[in-house]
Amino acid sequence: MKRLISALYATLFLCLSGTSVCFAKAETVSGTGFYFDTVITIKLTAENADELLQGCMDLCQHLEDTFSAQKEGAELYQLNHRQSEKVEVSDELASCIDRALEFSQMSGGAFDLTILPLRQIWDFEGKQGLTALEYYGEEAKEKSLVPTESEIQDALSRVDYSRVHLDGNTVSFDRKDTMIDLGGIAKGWISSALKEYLKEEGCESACINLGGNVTTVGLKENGKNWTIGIQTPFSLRGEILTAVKAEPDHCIISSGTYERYFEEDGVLYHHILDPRSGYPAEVGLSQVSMVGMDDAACDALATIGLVLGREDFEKMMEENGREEEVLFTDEDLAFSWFNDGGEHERQ
Amino acid sequence: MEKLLRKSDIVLILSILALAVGMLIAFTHASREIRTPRLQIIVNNELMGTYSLEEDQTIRVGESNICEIKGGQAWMSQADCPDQICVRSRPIGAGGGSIVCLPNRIVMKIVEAGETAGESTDITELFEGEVLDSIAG
Repeated sequence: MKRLISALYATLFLCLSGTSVCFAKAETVSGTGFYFDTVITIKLTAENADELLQGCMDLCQHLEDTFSAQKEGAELYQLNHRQSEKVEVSDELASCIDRALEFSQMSGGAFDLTILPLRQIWDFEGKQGLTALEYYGEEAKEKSLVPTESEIQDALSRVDYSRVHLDGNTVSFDRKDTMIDLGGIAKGWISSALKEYLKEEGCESACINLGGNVTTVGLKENGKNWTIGIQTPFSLRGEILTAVKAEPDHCIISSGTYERYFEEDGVLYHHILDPRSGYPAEVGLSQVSMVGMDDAACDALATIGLVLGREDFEKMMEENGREEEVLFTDEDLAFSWFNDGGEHERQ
Repeated sequence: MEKLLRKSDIVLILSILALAVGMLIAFTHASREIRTPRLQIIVNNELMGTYSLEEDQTIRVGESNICEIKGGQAWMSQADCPDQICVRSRPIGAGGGSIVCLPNRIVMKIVEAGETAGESTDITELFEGEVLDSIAG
């Protein structure tokens, strides 16, 4: 009889604890925000989903205030408007500059973190979809949206990654007019940071989209791989070129000539500038997409691919033992994979 | 012989059992509760308001945009932005989805789509019959 009572109590205990498990059920939430001049969407599954989503948004705000070269109060803005040649920076900024230097060196300047003066004279953000008259106003007259040769040469003389040095958290510059732009790598660095934050907080399933840079944590809530579409370049309705089943914690990051550009006299000038020539890179590609686990690397590599072109880029990847998968999309939208071990169907 | 199961024991056991069963029913019910999809409008990372899809209405979002709800569908009917991507976006309804106006930092988003939380109906797009969770580009 005593055993019966114990058994009954045990059953009751199990019933109650089973009910309390319902309280802690994982929830899926998604949120959208505007940071880094783009739209970000985060979808995640966790017991404290709302709290983690807010944590991600707060982290985005903090990192925008760190990595922006345009926002006056931002740490990078202040670094570019420095008073001395040596500046102590935060851990985040030091880490991102470190990665940017790594890829500037690896690519021999096809990616260059000191590209800001060149970006400023081209101003693709401001010129998108406008004519010279609309951009400059009445004073435009004969003016072109394309910077003059002397403006480009002047800006180019200020672009050289070898003038930036990082020692711990100290950034030093050889010249006063050197300015850093992390636009080609910061979003990748940030998506890595979000991924790390979520994993540390115990989240096992998330999909993060930072203005087209997609990264994932684990698998979907139903245990399947996240399925990520890759956009067709220049399609207005966001048509899909192909889709990738992401391995856990992998990212899919593209760089494309279609993202920002302006047209003048029938020529398309896009925002992927070759820091060596000062002009938009012309290699016959409209998009390079990277699939890998190192988001910051994928972000920088996608841009490098568009600047170097297929052949030189494949060579650089091999020489540096990079294992990321690459999807090249030609200007005529034909696409092919590199480094994928034949896993994806070839066209 | 000592009486092992007293009346008070039985009462205790039964009441705990009743409580457990009651809670179980309550939670099962709560998770099956049918939620009503509604439209949320977010401006500059802050919630402007939540609107019923069942009520036809025109919502002015600041000076720049106008959003329309009609017949259970919501769309951006006017925007002063140069790209007009939001205006060209497909209407969204009970099935979920969102419309974004990047230049004016506005998001129209369906919340509580589907019958239970955790069951995602946030379908972005289909590719060769496969539901895409996100789009890179």
